Amino acid sequence: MKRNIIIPVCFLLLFFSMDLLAGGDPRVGTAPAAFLGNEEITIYLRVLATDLEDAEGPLYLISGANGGEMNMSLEASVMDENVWSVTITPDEYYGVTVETIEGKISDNNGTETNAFSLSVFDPSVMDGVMVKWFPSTAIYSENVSIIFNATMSDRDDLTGVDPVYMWAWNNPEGLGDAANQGGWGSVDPSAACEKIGEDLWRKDIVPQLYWDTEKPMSEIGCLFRNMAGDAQTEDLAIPLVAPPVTEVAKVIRPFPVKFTKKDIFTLYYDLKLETNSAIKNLKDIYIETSTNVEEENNPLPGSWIVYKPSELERAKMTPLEDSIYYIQFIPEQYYSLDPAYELKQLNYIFRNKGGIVKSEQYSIKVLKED
Amino acid sequence: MRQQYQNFIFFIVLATAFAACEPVEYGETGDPFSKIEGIEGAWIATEVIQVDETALAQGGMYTEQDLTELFNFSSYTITFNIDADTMPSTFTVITGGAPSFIDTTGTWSFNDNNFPTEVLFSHPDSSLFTSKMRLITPPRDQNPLHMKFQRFSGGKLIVSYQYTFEKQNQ
Repeated sequence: MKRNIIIPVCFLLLFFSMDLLAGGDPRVGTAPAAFLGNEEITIYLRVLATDLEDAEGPLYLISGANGGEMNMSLEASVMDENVWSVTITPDEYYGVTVETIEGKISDNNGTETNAFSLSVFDPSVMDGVMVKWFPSTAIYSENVSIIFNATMSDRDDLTGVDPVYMWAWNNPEGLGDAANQGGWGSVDPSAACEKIGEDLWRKDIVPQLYWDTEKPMSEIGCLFRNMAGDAQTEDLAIPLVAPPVTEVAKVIRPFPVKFTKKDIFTLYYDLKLETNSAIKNLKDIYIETSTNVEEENNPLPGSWIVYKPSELERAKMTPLEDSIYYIQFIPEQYYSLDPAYELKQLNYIFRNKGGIVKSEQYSIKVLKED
Repeated sequence: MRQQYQNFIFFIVLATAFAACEPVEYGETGDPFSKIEGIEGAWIATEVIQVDETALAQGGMYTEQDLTELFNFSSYTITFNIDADTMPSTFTVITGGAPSFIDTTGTWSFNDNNFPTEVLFSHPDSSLFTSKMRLITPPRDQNPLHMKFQRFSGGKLIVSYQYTFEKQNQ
């Protein structure tokens, strides 16, 4: 009887421990967004808000195909902050005709993100449909593939037309016609779509790049046409959204996220998210701080208990709202740094006045000014 | 009678149309206002906003923080002087205890006197500019002065401080 209880409890514990180990969901996309298995693609791995956020690398794509084992490892390249990429031709890389790719991102220390999945474009989804775009929720700063099935043309018949061009504009933000597509009577070759099947055409763009703008965009206006412009579809509108905000609540939040020793720096500490239950009951929070790694540059050195009241006041955090505390200063002044001192890191332990109740140590990187 | 009435209405419409076609004379546009004279004088900070440029670029939730009432920024004053030829000369910053990201004394200049986008500050010991502020709007005597200081690291903009100044003793 007891054994009957222990087994499900063990399963539950295992389930919860696996959940705790999960490293967050990466946001993964491809260029082109709707891709074929036999073409070269770039996979973008966005690790913001995962356990690999701000990782220095190397990072690897651990992956497999068609639901098989994830046993392929490929080192990723840095594209931007928290954006990594790999370039592969799926069918060649996995050695099979690929329908789906399953993957996760990992570093050398075994820190991993949650698994993700990508699907190869299936032309049958265009049966009876003139236009579809991928992903269905298109983001203005990322790749979107607009697929056109010429056999379903809604105005002039574009079946057999080769090549088909996409004529694009933006009205809501007043960006007008896409700059590089030429004029209506002299359409630029760069506006041509890519043939991905019989009477099946793809235009893959990053909207902001296509319009050469940094403005947020809410819509692509477009139609498909022949070169002469005497055969075309009706106007289409493809909605666009902003990239998702992927910040997760953390015990400490520096503002700004990146700063130098000369900047005004605010450190927020959220008691609600503190795992040490003893600290959660404190009314007054103090910091114990030092700089860099294995260096003592504490503006409040020595034994905490015998600090002068003026020094203790410097270490006290200010309550803000809803169990959030903050402290604000300019690092080079607060730590009385010599101008030549290279400040690379700030370390914090949160504690009570006497120093008996303490949090774990948190560290924050400090950048060097150009 | 009805025909006469219609003719009268037609005449009125025609006369109004001709009157509307009369050329209107506008005054001279005059010389463009001097940006150097527009910035000359003492300016006191009325608003200072710290912008987290990294968070802004990444679509983060927390992108701005109002510093106006902190660090004594509301006492921060900068004075731009010009010489007898109405050219940029010296400047002085009275920090009032607030941090200053630019030099506090020296000479100033625009990157372009007619279409300035930056104010360049040079330390008294230097012939080259040692710090600078970006103009958000062209300086004009009767308008608030909007400038920002930008901090770069690794070639990337990471933080900026947006200042709004009001002219003193107008």
